Amino acid sequence: MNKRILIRIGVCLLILSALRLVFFGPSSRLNVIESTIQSESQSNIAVGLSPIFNVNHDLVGSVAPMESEPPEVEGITNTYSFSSNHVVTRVVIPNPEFKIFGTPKFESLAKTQFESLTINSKYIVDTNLYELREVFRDFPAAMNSQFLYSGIYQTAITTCTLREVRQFIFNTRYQAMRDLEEANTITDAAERESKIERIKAMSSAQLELYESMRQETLEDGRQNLIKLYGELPKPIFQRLLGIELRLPMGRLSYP
Amino acid sequence: MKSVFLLVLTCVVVFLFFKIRQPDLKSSSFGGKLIGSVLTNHLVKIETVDSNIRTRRIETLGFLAGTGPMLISEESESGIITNVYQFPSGKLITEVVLPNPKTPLLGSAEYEMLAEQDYIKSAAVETNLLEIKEIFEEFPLAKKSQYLYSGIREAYVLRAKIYRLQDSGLLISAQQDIVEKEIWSVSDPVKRELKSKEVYNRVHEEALKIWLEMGDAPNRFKQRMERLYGEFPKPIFQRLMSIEITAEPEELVGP
Repeated sequence: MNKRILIRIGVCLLILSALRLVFFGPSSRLNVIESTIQSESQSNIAVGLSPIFNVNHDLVGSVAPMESEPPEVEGITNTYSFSSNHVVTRVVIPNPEFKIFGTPKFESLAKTQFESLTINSKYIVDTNLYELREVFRDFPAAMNSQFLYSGIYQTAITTCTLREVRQFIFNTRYQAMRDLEEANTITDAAERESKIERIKAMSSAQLELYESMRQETLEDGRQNLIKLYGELPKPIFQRLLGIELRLPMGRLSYP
Repeated sequence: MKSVFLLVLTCVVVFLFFKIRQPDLKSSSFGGKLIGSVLTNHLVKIETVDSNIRTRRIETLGFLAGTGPMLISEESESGIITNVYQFPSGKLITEVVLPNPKTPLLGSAEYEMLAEQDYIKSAAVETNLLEIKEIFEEFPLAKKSQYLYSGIREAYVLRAKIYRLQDSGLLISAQQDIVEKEIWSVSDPVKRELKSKEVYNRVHEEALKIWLEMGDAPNRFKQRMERLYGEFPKPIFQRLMSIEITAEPEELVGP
C-alpha cells in the first residue's frame, strides 16, 4: 500500500515538474528568446532613421550633397543648419507599412502585433504594453475610433526612437569626453587648443542635431496620433510618453 | 479512498510550493553576457510598514522571487536610508545614506520654502521644471495643499536621478573596450580567465545595482508623494515620468 502511494506521489511530482517547465519555463530559455527578440527588433525600427553612427564621427563629411534626390526615393528630407555653421541633411524613409497608416488594414496588423506580444505570447510579457492601452482607455476619442492599436503602435515607435536618440546623445558626450582626454595629452599648446576647439564644436553640433531629432520625433508622433483621433490632449500624450517599453514592438507583418 | 485523498493532498501541497516560489510570471529574467543590453521587467513589491519608524520597499529583478538580485530599502523618520543590495552571487552590500542635517524634512514649512526658492532659481536653467509645475497644478490635492513646491522639487530630483542612472547604465556598455583591455592586460591564460570572471562579476553587479536603483527611485517618490498629499494618482505620476531633466539639482540646504 505504502509503496503504491509513494509511486503515485512520485508520478504526481514528475507531472507537476513537467507542468512547471511548460508553463513557467526555465529562465535560460527566456534569456535566449529575449536576446533574440532584441537583436531582431533592433534592426526593425519602424521609422527608418539612417544609422547615425555612420555619420556622426565626421559631421563635415555628412553635409548634404547639393544634388537632388532621385525621384523614386520616398521619404522626408530634413536639413539642419547649426550655430557652428554645420549643415546636416537627414533623410527619413518610413517603413512601407506606414503607407497604410490610419487604415483598417494597419489597425488589424497593429492589433495582431499587440496580441502576439501579449495574450498570444509564449514568453515574458512587457506589462507596459497593457499600461499603454489603459491610458488610451482614458481617451474617449481613441476608444470611439477604430484605431486603438494603431495608436499604441505609434506610441511604441515614438518612445523607442526617443530612447535611441538618448543613446546617441550619450555616445556623443562620451566620445567627446574621451577625445578631449586624448587631446589634452598633446604637448604642443597651439595644436592642443585647436584640437580641443574642433572636438567641442563637433560634439556641440551633434548634440544640437540630436536635440532636433528628439523634438521632431515627438512632433511626428503627436501629429500621427492627431491624424488618427482628430485631437490629442497634452496630459494623454505625456502619460503615453511616461511609459517605457522594454523592447520595440517590432515590424508589422506587412507584405 | 484514503490513498486517493493522500495523493490529492500531496499534489495540492506541491503545487502550492511551486506557486509560492513563482509568484508572478511577469517578473523578469536576466540573460546574456552583454551587460548593457540585459532587459528586465520589474517585479516590484512595495511593502509599507505602517509604523512611525520606517518605510520599507523591496525591489527584485529575478525571474524567481528570492533568487535574483534584490534591494531592500528602509527609511527612518529622521531620513536615514539603509539600502541592502543582494546579488545572485550571495554578495550583500549595505549602504547607509545619512541626510544632510541642514536639509529640512519633507513635509515641513521650511522644506517648502527652500523648494520654492530653488524652483525660482532652477527654472531659468531647466525649463522642463515649468512642465513639472504645470502637472502639479493640475493635481488638486497638491495645488490646495501648502506643499506644491515640495512635490515639484521631489519630481525634479527623481527625474534628474533617473537621467543620471541611465547615463551610468550606458557608461557601463560604452566602457566594454576598457574592460576588455583590463582582461587582456594579463598575459597568463589561467590568470586571465580568473581576471575575466572577476571583471565580469564586478561589471555585472554594477549594472544590477543601477537597475535596482532605477526600479526603486520611482517607488520611493510615490511613497513620499502619498505621505505629502495623502494620495498620488497614477495619471499624474505617468505624466511626470515623461519629463526629461538633465540638470543636476542643487542640495536644499537651510541657512
